[in-house]
Amino acid sequence: MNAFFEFLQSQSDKLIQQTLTHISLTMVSVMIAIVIGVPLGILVARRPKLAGAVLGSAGVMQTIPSIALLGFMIPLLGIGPQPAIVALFLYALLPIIRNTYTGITGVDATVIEAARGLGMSSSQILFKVELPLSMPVLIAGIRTATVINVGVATLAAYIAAGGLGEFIFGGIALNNTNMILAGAIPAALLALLFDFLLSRLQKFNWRKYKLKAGIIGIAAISLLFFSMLPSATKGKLLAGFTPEFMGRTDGYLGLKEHYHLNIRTVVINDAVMYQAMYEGKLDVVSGYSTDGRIRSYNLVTLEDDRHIFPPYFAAPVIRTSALEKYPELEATLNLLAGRINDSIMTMLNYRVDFLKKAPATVAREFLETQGLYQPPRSGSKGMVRIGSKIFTEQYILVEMYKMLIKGYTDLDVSSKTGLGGTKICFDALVNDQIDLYPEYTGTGLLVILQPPAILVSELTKSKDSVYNYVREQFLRQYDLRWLQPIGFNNAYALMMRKGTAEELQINSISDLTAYLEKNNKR
Amino acid sequence: MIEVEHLHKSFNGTIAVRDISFEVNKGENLILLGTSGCGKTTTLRMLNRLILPTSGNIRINGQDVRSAQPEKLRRGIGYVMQQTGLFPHYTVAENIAIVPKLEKWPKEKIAERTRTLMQKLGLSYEEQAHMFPHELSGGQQQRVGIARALAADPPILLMDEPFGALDPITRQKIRNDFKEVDELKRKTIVMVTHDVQDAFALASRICLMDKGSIVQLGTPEELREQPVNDFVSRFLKGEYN
Repeated sequence: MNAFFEFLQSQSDKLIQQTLTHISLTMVSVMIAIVIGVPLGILVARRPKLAGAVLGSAGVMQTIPSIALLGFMIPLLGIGPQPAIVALFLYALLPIIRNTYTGITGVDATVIEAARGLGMSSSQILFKVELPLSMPVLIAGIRTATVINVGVATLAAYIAAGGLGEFIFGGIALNNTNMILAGAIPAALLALLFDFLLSRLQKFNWRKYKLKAGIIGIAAISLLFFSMLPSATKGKLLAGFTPEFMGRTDGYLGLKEHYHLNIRTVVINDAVMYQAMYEGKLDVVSGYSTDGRIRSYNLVTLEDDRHIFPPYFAAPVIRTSALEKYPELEATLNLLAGRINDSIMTMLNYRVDFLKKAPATVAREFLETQGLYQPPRSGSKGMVRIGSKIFTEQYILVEMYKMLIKGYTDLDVSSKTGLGGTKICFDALVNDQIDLYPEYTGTGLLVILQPPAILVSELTKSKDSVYNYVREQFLRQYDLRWLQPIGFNNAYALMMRKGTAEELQINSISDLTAYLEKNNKR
Repeated sequence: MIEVEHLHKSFNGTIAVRDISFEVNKGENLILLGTSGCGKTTTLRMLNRLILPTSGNIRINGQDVRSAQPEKLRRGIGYVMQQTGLFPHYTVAENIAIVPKLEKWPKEKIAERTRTLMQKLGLSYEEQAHMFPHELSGGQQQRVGIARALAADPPILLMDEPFGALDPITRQKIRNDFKEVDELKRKTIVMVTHDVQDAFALASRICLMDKGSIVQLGTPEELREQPVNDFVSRFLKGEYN
């Protein structure tokens, strides 16, 4: 509990900023939905033939999953508050149109007839009779829309619009409960607060305080909040980082500390980040250095010349017992050692992810070009069990190992691909359910061994010291052997569009820092 | 004052009013009497253009109602409904003030008029002006409805079953009071009712309708003493009520 309040205190500026952004996103989107939804509701109440079509299309909007809707917005409106507001507006539309329609059609017909009989015009009937009498139902719709939007607005953090979702998704990515709660609790309180305020408004005597004055007042408040939204100023470079990267000492925090990187940042989801980069909405993003998307979106990784990103060199980790039983495995698995560098791995990932080739095909093609491929031998000596985590790169590596073992030894191979994350693979290995799987030095260090922070920052300065440390500790603690690294380093990396990087002559993170310093001063 | 010529109305092929003509003189109370569905309410509602006739002419003070702006026309004609049609979100005083306000009377004049009317209709301004309609009894609501129709002092009053929703005792009481209101004596009134007693108590002339047509038009005495057919005499005996 104390830790939570300490966290709140340390993050109070950010918390206030995110809460205000959250309120702005919600209010502005609901306000636009009122401005458009109420007249639409009135229209369909007047022309019942349109009701089915209008309510139907607004209903379809409601069924589009929020993430998908936000994703659709990027090609149209880029990233940031604008696409988020449009998506939130679409969500708010249905309850507002529907309740306006229900409210107006629910007004007692004899009252309307009396109003006509007394000589009121249609607009007088609308403003003096129909709207005031349907106001409780109408506001109930606004209440529903607002409460929905407070929730959906947390997803705005996925497309760099800010809001309390930044804490929530950062917390999930970093497994930091306090950070999750720092976003979730204020979001829940906001929903309750809005609901309460609107419930008061519902009971409000709309006749005494003129309808028009009320509308103008609320519109003014929304405009005020709109002006508080972070605006995308042009000219300087903009970085989009994942919630996880933002919160890690070997991520953004490290960049600030060791490189004194001073760049405008937005928090964005991994799934839309590359798209936004490609569309030119972002200039720098965080990612993994062998991601196939680097190639498909024509990006370059910046050199980490001060070595703040821990090395994630991949190498097979194998049970000592398996090596003793089949000593020929070591030489066979080491056939790949040093063969695959970052750009080759990126290319292989790209072929699977974007050219939609099977991992086995890509693996075989690679081995053939390297002259390593041999047709399978008898496979009669015994069975080797290989595991992998659920991602492309691991699938490709496992296929390669499979072909090498079958081609160079008399062993057969069974593969258990898709063993979830690190923890599942590692436990399977320790418990003798698999014999080997490809692991990364950084993961072995930070996820499995978890040494003290001082030791980590000391070790991560060189790739060899990390490798040596994990090799020693795995052998001593778990009786597991690390074989030779394959060559590539799937570490965190900063990326830029190739064209931009060349134009600005930025090759390393230090170049980026220098460029920003020069331009910030100007 | 009101002239109706060859008025005809059909809804989607169903004839509601069939070629009727009549005149209402100034200061006269004309009662449109008949069973439900005989076209009397449709006729009334055509007088202030709430319903547009299929054919035929209506002239008020010699002017065709179609040539007037409908809102303007209606503000000059008081309108009272069976279900009162009071605005539930307006107080009694605000309900009465609707038409004067539309006509942009000064505030003081509206307040004065409201007070006078409530008094004339047997309502207490002090107690009831700031109440909402649902806080009043049915009879009181109907009195407010009449006050609202009279507020801007229109020369003509259209009343659609004004006492229809009331119990027999209240009905008689309010009808007697109604006859005593001096302002009503000066009005040209067209009233729709299915109630023979209402008709005989209030009518200068009665227009008895059946199936969209006029069966007989005359003074209560003429109808009673010289019924044109069996239907009239049986209707007056209350056999259709």
